Amino acid sequence: MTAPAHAPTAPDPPAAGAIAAVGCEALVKRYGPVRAVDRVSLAVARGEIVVLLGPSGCGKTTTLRLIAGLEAPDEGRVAIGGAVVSSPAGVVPPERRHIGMVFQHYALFPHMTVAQNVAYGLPRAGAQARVNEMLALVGLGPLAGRMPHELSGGQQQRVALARALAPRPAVLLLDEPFSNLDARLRAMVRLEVRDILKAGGITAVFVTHDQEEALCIGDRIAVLNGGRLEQIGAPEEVYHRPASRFVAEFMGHTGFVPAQVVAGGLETELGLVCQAVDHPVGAAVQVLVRPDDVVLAADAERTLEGGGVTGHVVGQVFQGMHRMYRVVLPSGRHVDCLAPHTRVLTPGSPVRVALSPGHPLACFAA
Amino acid sequence: MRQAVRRPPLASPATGALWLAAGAAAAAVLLPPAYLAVRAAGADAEAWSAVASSRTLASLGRTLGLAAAVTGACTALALPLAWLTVRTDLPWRRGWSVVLALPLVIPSYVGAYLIVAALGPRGMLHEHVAEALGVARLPSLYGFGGASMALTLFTYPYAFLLLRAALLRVDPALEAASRTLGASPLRTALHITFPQLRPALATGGLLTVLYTLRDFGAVSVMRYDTLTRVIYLQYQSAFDRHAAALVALVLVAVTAVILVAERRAEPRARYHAPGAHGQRPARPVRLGRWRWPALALCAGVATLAVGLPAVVLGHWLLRGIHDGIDWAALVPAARDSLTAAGWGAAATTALALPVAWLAVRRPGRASGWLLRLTWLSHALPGVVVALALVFFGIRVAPALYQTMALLVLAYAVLHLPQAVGAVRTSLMQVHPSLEEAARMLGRPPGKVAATVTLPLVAPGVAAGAALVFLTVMKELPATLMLGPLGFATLATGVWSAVSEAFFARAAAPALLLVLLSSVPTAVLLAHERVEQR
Repeated sequence: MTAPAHAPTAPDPPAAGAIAAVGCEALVKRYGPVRAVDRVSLAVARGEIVVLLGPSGCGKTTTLRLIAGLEAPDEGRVAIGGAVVSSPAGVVPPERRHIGMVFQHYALFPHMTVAQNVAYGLPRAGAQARVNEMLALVGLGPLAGRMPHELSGGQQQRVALARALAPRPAVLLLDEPFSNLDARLRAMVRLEVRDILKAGGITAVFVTHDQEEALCIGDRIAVLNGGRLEQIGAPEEVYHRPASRFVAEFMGHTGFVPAQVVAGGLETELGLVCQAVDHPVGAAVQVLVRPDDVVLAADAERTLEGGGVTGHVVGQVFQGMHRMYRVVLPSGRHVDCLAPHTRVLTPGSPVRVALSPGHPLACFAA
Repeated sequence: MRQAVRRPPLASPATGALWLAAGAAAAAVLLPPAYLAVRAAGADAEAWSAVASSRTLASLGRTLGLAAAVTGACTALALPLAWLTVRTDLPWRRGWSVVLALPLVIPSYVGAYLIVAALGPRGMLHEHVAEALGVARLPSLYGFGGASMALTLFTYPYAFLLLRAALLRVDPALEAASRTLGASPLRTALHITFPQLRPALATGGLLTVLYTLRDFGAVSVMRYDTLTRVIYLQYQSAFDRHAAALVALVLVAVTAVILVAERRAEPRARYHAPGAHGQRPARPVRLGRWRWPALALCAGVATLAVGLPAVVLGHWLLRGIHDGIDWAALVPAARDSLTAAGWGAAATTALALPVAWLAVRRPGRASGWLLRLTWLSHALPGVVVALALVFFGIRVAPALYQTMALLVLAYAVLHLPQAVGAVRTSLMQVHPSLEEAARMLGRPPGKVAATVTLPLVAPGVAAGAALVFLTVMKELPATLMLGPLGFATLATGVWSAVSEAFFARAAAPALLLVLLSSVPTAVLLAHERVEQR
């Protein structure tokens, strides 16, 4: 048995020219005629959390399994810490990669106690101390003797994390680790897990289909669609400057408004937007408008910064912290806008809407 | 820079060995029909004409007639009994559902023996009633009547249990929906409930047909010349082995046709019900005055299929004790039974493991065909496998003839699907991510198998092996034809005593067999109760 012997790694700032903790080069995986992963390349720096985000069937889990060595690539290479571990010529088996993995359904061994599960990947000498340390880290010390089925979903999830981290893996892979938790618990656990990963300086690749989770946990987000990498970047970048309509639509509640490029900005039905635009003056474009990009005034006569237009409320959804109003514009087009929950408007009320100044908007060729 | 190893990610050198072992299992199943085909190909015109003779055709007709009659009678009994015990307010429903399943523990030849010992010549009825009344002869029990009675009474529980399970699974919301849409209870039953029982009816019917086609014990005790008995008699007379091989192939062909027909007839609709839990149980139908005939039906079937055999067995057991039966003779029989069953279960499970593992963990064309090849065994009655291996032993492997090895091979061929099913089920319950998690934690495939997979499948595999063990103990034709010289099990003991009408001598081994068979039945019933929850 090979004993993983990695010292805890301090988080290194991603530096140009540094050896990536995980490197994927033009990975291709085919299932019959389908390319589940289609020329995906990405590099994960040491201590970085990269989220693979996309709808089901986009190839994110397959990419993760290629990194893990659970699948062999048809083309391309995977390198861990600079050493090539997968290529069409051969594959280092998963047990020799020093990679930890948290599975979607946790994959806790049902015939072993919590402590035995965590100890499974450890050399016998010193295992006990490491198990105690890990269980203390995830706050499950008193439950060491329990069987997995005696734990709640959240506790099972933490055991899975402790087990994967116990052998001090070079990289941690997480495959939709929170998908079996209810919404409240999920929001709590993802912050906990991020803190644990960051405190340990652990390099992680995290798969999810939940954009909110991705924004919350990732240092960078890689959006996949149909096996291809659409965009990779910091959460703010992916959210505000989506590289494609697909990314824009996937990253949140999205609407598009037609616009004309003019000198110094965009001319839309909701008024003029002053910002730099990559498209030539005179071009017709579609502007990405999310509900938080629209300001709404109950007084239809008031002139808003940037002009604005008078519309009518046609529907509203109470969301607790906010209300989302749907407003029909003179052109018949709908825009959704976020308003404080205290602003109560009845359907049919005239309102003034405008694009929020200072929100840079992404636009795509119409 | 680490060197990449040229190997598919999760394969191991052991996989090649597994394919070899699974190939051996498939070869074992193929051996009997292949050898029979070879022998049949060598048959001369005389043998062919013997097969085409009116005698063979007549026994084929008898076989099919018996199968149809038994299947019809079983369905006619099982459907109302299942409905009464699941969906009505019949008094003592729970009790009836257990009692009416009990005949499963009686092997067909033991059941036939008990019927003959009760109603046949020199039986209880004859001794105690007919003689007192001065009736010299009772109407003959032997033949079609006796055989169909024995097979019906002791095989209807298969259909009964399947129909009960199907009725328990019918989503009551569907019936409620039908009623709220204005359908009468009768229309609801005919158009909503009954169609959902079709798969269970088909499976139950198929099980009964196959059981009847394969049955050797009951028809032999009842002296009814179906194909299995004809094959056995031809084997015994040893006068034309080619003809026996041809008749055996006819039986295999008939069985195979029915198996294929059943696959084809599988309904296209899927009858999904959301899991039984959280489902509001259907309101039981009120029987009212009808509960009296309903109770009479349950009591009548229970009397014939459970009460009568128990009384008869008790009677002949007491007679045996009174007459001073040689109990010591039971010890070697029990020992031979245990030995044969032990080897049989071990060999069958060993052959089943690689087939099941490949089918679950390496799904694909090759493993699919392996799995299908093991199902071929369903089309091979015990008599046919035994006959083929007798020929094979005499002609090809005389060193094996009349050895335990050949008998164990026959057991393995006959019970392979059962063992493969048990291993497959337990393997499918081990999610592959458990094995992957163990690999990711640094353990090589062999260690993963030893520390994760095997501990998790062991209980299921052991239960499967125990079921095969108990089924082998009851097995009659192969044990009779392939047992080594001087080899006598409980099953052959019952058979030889009954064929000489020594009813008292058969009682003790028969009772032992019934007790042993009650273990798998208890498992089956416990399983049903779990599903019910």
